[in-house]
Amino acid sequence: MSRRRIVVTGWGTVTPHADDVDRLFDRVSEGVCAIDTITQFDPSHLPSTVAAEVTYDVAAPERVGPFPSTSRTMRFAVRAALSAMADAGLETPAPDDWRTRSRRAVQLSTGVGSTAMEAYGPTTLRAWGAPPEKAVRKPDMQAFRSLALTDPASRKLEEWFCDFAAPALGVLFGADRIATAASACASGSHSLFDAVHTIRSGRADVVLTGGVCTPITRSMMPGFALLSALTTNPDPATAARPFDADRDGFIMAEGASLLVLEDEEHARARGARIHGEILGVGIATDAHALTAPLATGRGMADAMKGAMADAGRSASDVSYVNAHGTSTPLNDAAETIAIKTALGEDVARRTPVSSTKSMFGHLIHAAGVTEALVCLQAIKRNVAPPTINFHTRDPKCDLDYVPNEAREVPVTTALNNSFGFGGQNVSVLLGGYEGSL
Amino acid sequence: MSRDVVITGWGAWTGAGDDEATRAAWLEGRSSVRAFEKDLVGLPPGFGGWADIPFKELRGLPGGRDLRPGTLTAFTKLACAAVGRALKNVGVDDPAADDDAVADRRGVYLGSYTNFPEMKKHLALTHVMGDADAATEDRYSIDDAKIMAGMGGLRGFDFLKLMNNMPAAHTTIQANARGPANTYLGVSTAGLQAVGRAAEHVSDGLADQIIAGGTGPGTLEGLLLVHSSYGALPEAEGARGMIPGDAGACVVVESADTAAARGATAVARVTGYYDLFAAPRTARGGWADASPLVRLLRVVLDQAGWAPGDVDYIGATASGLPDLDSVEAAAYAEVFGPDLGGAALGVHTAVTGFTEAAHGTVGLMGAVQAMADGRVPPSPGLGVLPASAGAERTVRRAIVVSVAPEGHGAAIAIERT
Repeated sequence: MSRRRIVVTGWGTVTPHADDVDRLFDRVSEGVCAIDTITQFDPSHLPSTVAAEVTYDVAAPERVGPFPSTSRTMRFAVRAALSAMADAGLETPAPDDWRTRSRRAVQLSTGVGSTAMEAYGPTTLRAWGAPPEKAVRKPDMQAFRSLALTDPASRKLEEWFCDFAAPALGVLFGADRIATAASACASGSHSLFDAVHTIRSGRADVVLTGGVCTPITRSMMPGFALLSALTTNPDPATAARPFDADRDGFIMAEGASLLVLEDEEHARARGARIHGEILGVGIATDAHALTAPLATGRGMADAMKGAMADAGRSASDVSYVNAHGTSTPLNDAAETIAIKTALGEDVARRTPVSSTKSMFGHLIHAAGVTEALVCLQAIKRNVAPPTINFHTRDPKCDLDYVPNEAREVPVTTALNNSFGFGGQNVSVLLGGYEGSL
Repeated sequence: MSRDVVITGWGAWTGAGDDEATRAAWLEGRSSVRAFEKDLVGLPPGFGGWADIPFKELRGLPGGRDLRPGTLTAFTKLACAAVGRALKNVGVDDPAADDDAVADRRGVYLGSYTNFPEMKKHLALTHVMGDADAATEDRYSIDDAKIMAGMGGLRGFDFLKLMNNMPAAHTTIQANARGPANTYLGVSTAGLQAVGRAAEHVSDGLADQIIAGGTGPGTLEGLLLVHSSYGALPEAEGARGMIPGDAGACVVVESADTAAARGATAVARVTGYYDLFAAPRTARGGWADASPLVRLLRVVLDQAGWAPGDVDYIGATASGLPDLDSVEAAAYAEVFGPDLGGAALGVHTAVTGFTEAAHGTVGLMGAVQAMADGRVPPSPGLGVLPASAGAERTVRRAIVVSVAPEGHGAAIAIERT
């Protein structure tokens, strides 16, 4: 029996550039930077003051089934899901339509929910009095607990543990199977990996998959700054500079992107429009360190080789690489080595490689699928989007990064890389689909 | 499933101790639920199956030598304890010495909730961030200029360790697992879901061996506050409600061929797995009736090719939440008959407390252990379903179930090899 082919029949997005996939790629191919000084709070006292925020209104229903959807995370996820379902021409099945429900799944990745410890601010005041100049090392937790047990903020903590995004999308999509995957910055692509195998194995025909992340908060921004992971460059226009010698860290971003993946025959039978095809997926783990990638890029290369092997394609078939390209010194150097290992030195040098994070920052759990959207558009339009702010060559980064301006090139297949803290690596090989243009 | 998938080992740490101690407590019908001590004093409900893992023991487990307390949350620590015990039990004493070919085909799948910080540290940050002028008017608002002042007591790892994937990230390093790794999140069924998805992925050929299970520090302060806020915890000892417990638990899932090639003993074969979502009444209200769980059980029976009467052990969730327990009891009665068709019922909740995302895997471990040692432990504290007597009995076919109040359920069928 031949293997099921996986096609993309719907997409939806909420990104700093736009909430529309075509407009997102228009901006990206024009080299427009969506990074700016943070507006959700005053960042001027933080080491990193820039991010790529969603600054337009994102409308979503206040509830999806029994689940509240008013938080930033939930609104983004629900909006992107509704767009993807509409684009795919799919509706929520009837509650008792088990036949349809049993063939649908949701595979989502989410970050920390929108709520943080700030919800307990009033309780800390009541328990411990006026704010001190420096944090108290041993606060009186008994005093806090006696108040916290009757504090409505306890309910808000629920969002930390479980932001209900996947169950809410399960209600919208009418899916029997839901799962929330977490592999840090590789999470979105990891969900896509699982979705592909869910369809390929015949366990579902249609999967809504992707990621959502809203990490631009008062705790996450300084937290990642303490890890020395974020840029300290205060100039929004030039802060993100993947593969450039002067790169100094990534730029936090927020958003959500979702794809409807479908068994090709199922899609054709219902006359669905097909945006492209997932040709192959690869996954590998460094098993090495929590923050730093392997300097040899072994895990990254294994993921890329896995995706090509899974697709039955060779390195010379890859016409564009959308790199993980975070703009951190370690990632970009290791990824360059890994691309050369996976594609071979000669092919790697003549293949356009770009990091679109230079324009929309790092959407963490939503990064992989947002960049998969970019790849599908690159294939559709035969355009390799640029890496902006690439001015000073780093000897460790010696590939063709499509510097500063998009390039018209034939793009038949695109390799999308996502690598996460903890050494989790996922690569996806995407292609066009005959009749999809 | 296209490749035969077997379970070759297990590992756990609960309030009763490691997997051996947990098994002993369960066979004796002895509960590890006890009064809170130390940092837990003052938290509801005042008692639970809290676990105390000496760090020296953790570092003494296979792959544990390089673990550092500063990078571990309660979730990650329990996960590392379970994975370390599993490695020890299957005879992998030094995973770093394994051939690349073995490591490349080994994965780790864990169920968890979002990693949660030490509240003390992060609340101190919240407090110091407060605007002093607003505080004089009994208002809390954040003074953004003071954020970095609050960061003085925190390190980068205090944030890194909160990333959701840290249980899997740590344990892949511990187990030298270079294949697929995942942390399934969000609901207490995620641990059994991790096992089931691991079985599917081994069957599909994505890995040869996956260490899979869940981690659930049920006595974590944040979780207790959440559960307390919606009335899930009992108000007094003896009252109805969910008794919190801590556990990390996992099983070693591998292809039958790989297990045979390395001379491993396969205790059970995975014959069916499904997880199912159906909208609950409210966000945490559970299903309105038993029909989704009935459907889930019938799908798994169908996959396994079994009639209900073929099942001789049911590993139940029995969370202690009255509505969820009622739905579970009704589903078993509808599928298996009012006397459960003579199947033994395995319930460990009274032994360990409800251990969140680890709960289903602790139940699965109990079923596998019953297949291995022919002993069915008692199920103390049951009122709605016939309890097992705690006797020697041949367990050939088992179904283990995990249900969550968010409308999610998972069930796995295993058969003794």
